[in-house]
Amino acid sequence: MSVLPVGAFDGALTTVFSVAIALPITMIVALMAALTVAAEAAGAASSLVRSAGRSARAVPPVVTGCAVAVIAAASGATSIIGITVLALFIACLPAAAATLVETFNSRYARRRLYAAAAAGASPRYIALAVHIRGSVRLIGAVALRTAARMCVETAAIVVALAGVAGAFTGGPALTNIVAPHAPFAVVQFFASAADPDAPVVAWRAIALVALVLAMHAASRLIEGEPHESLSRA
Amino acid sequence: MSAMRSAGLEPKLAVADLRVSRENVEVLRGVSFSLPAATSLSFIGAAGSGKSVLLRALCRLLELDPLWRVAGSVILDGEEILSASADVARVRRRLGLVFPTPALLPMSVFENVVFGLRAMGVQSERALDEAYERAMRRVLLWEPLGARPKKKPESFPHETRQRICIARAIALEPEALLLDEPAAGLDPVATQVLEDVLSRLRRECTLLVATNNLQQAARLSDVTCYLARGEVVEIGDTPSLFSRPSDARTEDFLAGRID
Repeated sequence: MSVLPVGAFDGALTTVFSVAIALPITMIVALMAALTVAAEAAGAASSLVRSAGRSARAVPPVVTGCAVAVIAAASGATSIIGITVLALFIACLPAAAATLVETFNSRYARRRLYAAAAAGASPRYIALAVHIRGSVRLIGAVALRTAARMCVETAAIVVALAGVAGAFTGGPALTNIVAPHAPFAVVQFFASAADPDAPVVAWRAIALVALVLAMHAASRLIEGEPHESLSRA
Repeated sequence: MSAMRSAGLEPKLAVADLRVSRENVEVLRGVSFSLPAATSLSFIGAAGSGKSVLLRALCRLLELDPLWRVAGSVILDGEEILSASADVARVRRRLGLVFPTPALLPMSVFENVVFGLRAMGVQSERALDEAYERAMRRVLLWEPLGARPKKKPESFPHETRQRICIARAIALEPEALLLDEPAAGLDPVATQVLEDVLSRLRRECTLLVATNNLQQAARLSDVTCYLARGEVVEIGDTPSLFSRPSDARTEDFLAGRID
């Protein structure tokens, strides 16, 4: 018989599912943005990426994520997964893109860019054969750290959604969707110790922290030597 | 060069009024010279005189940073290569540039050497193997390293890494090889080995070498050009320029008297 309370990891499935959808989308867009900047550092597209990144980073990601989730829910969206994925994407994209931009614009990466260009390679070939190939480990590490951040932010987004659910007339329907799958039970965060669900909440919180720590450890393992530019992700 | 023109020879490379600036600061101020085929030319001059910028401007590498502005004319074998319609990748393959610090790519020695060929679409492994062997023989690395060395390129000594970079450039059979301080940071023995390689290469293709080492310029080049503050002060046959410079500024520089 399991020592864990029944339902301790119900929310984890929702979190994993949301992150599994949001992470690839976020990483692909971040990678394309970073490669655009690397290919033409002072071009119009690069300026746009840089200023978008600066503006986005002016607001804490969790606030952005919650705001997006609340706006989406208030606009009538009822899919918890859909809202969460959208919020995670918008919240985590700036940090992931900024880290990759730094990676592809490091002195070492610029040297590789010039060497490859001097050999007559096109920007697209350089992106695939040099930047991505030469930074596979770093990209993997950024992906893991972004996933860890997404896990944490899913919890906050669900709190925001639960608030919306209570505040709007259409709330009960959303609450019904949110409550059983609440990622790591943050919806029940305020449950008292006397609440029969309290041990479930506690286990979910422990699982969340353990998962995030494990992903950070894995990212360090993939990354190898410490890399300054990863500190933001 | 005027002697070449009077002899009716078409120059391999003709640079006219080349002006390069970065954020409105002029780095090259109307550089002009021409060079016949299979001739080696050394650029000498103090740090900041524009030697490296000149080489990068010729192969259009400055375009990677839009803060640079390049104007003027560079004609390679009768073709204007600075024009907007010129294929930049092809220009860079025709003028192979080697950097002062060995700039190896994150791949094996073999893949480094055939990188440019793969980038231009060569897929035949046999063709790549042949090009690799040819390039490695020309830089005297075929015997010590062999077909596909397993050792990571970064584990080789500085001078070997630089020769791998030269092999990458010459694997593309460039019409001219541009070498920016190729022996920077090398000890005299390693410099000698590298110069041996360059001495062989100068018989096969046009070399343009930017160097701070006057003896090296004298050893490697048929023609020497003295640049100061982005301008050509004097250009001429290497023995004449070193023994009888016509400009007092050249004489001062060669004598180590720089203001």
